[in-house]
Amino acid sequence: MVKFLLKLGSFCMVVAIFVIVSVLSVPKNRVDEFYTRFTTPKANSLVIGSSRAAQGFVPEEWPRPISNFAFTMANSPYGEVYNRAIFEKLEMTSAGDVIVEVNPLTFSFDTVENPLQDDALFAEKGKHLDRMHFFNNDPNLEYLFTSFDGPLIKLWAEPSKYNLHEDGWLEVGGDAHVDPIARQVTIDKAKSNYQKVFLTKRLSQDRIAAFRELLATLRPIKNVHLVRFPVSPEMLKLEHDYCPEFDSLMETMANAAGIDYLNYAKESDVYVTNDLHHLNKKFGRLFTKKLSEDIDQRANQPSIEN
Amino acid sequence: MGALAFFKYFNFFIESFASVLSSAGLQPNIHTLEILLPVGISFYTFQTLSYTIDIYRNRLEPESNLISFASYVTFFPQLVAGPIERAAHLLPQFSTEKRFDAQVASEGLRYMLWGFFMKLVIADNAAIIVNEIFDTYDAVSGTSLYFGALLFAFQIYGDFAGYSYIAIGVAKLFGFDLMTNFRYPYLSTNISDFWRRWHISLSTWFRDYVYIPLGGNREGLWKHFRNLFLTFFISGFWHGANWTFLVWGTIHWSLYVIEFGIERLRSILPPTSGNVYLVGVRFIGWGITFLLVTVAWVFFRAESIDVALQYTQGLIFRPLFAYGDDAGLMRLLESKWIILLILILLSVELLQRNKSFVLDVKTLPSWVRYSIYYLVTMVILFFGKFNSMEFIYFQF
Repeated sequence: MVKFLLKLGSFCMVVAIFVIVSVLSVPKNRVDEFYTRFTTPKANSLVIGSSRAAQGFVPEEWPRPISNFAFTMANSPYGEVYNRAIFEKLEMTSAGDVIVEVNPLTFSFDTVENPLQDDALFAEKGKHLDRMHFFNNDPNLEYLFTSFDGPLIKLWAEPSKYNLHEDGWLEVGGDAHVDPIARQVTIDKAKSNYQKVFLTKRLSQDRIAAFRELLATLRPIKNVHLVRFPVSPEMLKLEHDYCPEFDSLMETMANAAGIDYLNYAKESDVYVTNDLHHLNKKFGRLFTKKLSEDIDQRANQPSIEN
Repeated sequence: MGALAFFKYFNFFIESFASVLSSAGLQPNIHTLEILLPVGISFYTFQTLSYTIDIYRNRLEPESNLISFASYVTFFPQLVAGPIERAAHLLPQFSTEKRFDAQVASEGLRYMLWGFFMKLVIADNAAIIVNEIFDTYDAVSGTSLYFGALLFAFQIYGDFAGYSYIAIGVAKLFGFDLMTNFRYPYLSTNISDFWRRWHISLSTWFRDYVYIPLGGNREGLWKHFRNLFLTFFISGFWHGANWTFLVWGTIHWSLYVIEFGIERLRSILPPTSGNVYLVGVRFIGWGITFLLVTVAWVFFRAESIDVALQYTQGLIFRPLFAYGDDAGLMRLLESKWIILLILILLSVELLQRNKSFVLDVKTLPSWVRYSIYYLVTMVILFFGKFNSMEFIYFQF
């Protein structure tokens, strides 16, 4: 039996080495739109939220090291699943910045898929953030075998069209976003899509409760800032029609947690998006810079108590 | 049987009864069971049935050791999806002393390796395309419908045979021998050949406990057909409480009857000879059998008879190209290499058709064997889908 186990062990070892070497030969940034975020070490500072933050916050423009750990509305709405993932990625033993991107959909659930608002049926359940156990391994074989969409051969055969930077920024570009006709088609499609999306969404009290818990845990250690990213005026109107009280809800939660709420939705006409709500590359950089300046300015302002 | 009827068929009968009443203008207030189906119930019910019947027929001595009997009923490798073992084969193995045998364990690993290939590479990759096509069957081209049916044939084969190979392999690691459940079914050259190769543990179960007790082919032509019909009908019903499975069973019965007629006709024609002629006939037989089995699978996969009929109509009448957006074809183009893998599967099956399974390579030189193991392992790791579906037959 010992001989049998030794032979089997050697076989598995050769296979494992081959797989690891093969995977390491692939540029990490071309795996998919999430992988790199699971291969970097724990970070002192994080950007969290939806794809608006994933694409619209460019860590290079931030004055201090920060990682982008924002995913999508379907994968990372606020709730138990995302909270767990955040604390797996965030180094909680030292100070740092946490930029918390908020919008109405990150607190919502779908009434068609989940009419009873059962948190076991929330959209993110069973998706990669829920499934993952290892968030900081390079290469991350758990991600590649359990969360990567498709067989591993796709890493070579069909590299991702996105460029996911080491710092977590999802760079989206290409002709579709430069060509005005293609861009208009994208915008029209997004508008029609979101008109339908908002019809079936409702704010979830479970998500709001989990978010309060997140802020309460982060606040004593990190500099936390709630940020509503700019979107197009059309998207802002859809969001306002869906949830007119959203800003006051965020302000209340921010005040209760003793943190700032920076609302850039009012500046929606200043920034350009790819598709109604994702800032394009250029304006993502500008916005990140502006956000850092605003936050630093607020930090340098003498407080009212003084 | 009572437990099986209650858990698996109660809702079907209630809903069918309600549907009959509704069509008669009545509005019945029905209550169905909202309970989970116990895992593997169809499989262990049949195992215990065979045990009881064999004792009744004095073919088997009753087992006096409760541990052995309980282990036979709940033997974990094959508990949820077979093979359906006969007590005469499996029960005595629980009473014999087990010693580690490297040869048997290696054989077990080979079975498992091939099972993983069938499940993770063939079945799960095909499933993605199949699901897309069947979900949008009313808006895809005829080409997509053909590929949907073809790929489902390999999905269900890879899924079910894959599970069986893994179960046989795991059992071998513990020193147990389970029966062969699949023997290259898609190399069949006629329908009866197909049923000698597909889900062998179930088809032989039905042969021994339904078809032969009904009289088999011993009591004239019509009773033979009736017995066949009942066997296929019950076999279809065993798969699930849905009319689609009953129709699937009935289609196979019809094909069996047609084949019977053709064989009769051939027997009165003058005998033919010549290798080329025989190979030609076998090839045509293979093609027709594969086509018919594949079309019958549409009824197995479809959610309802209505969907299955529309799908099969689409196979005949739908334009082959340019029908709407055709999400199915897009998905197929994304994963076109699955077709190549299926062709490779069929080729190696043809090459190894006289062996018990494809990876029965123990007689080859060591370096060839290890090259094959590494190759299959790499194909599984690089082409396999690891984050997808459970086994289809878990639902039965």
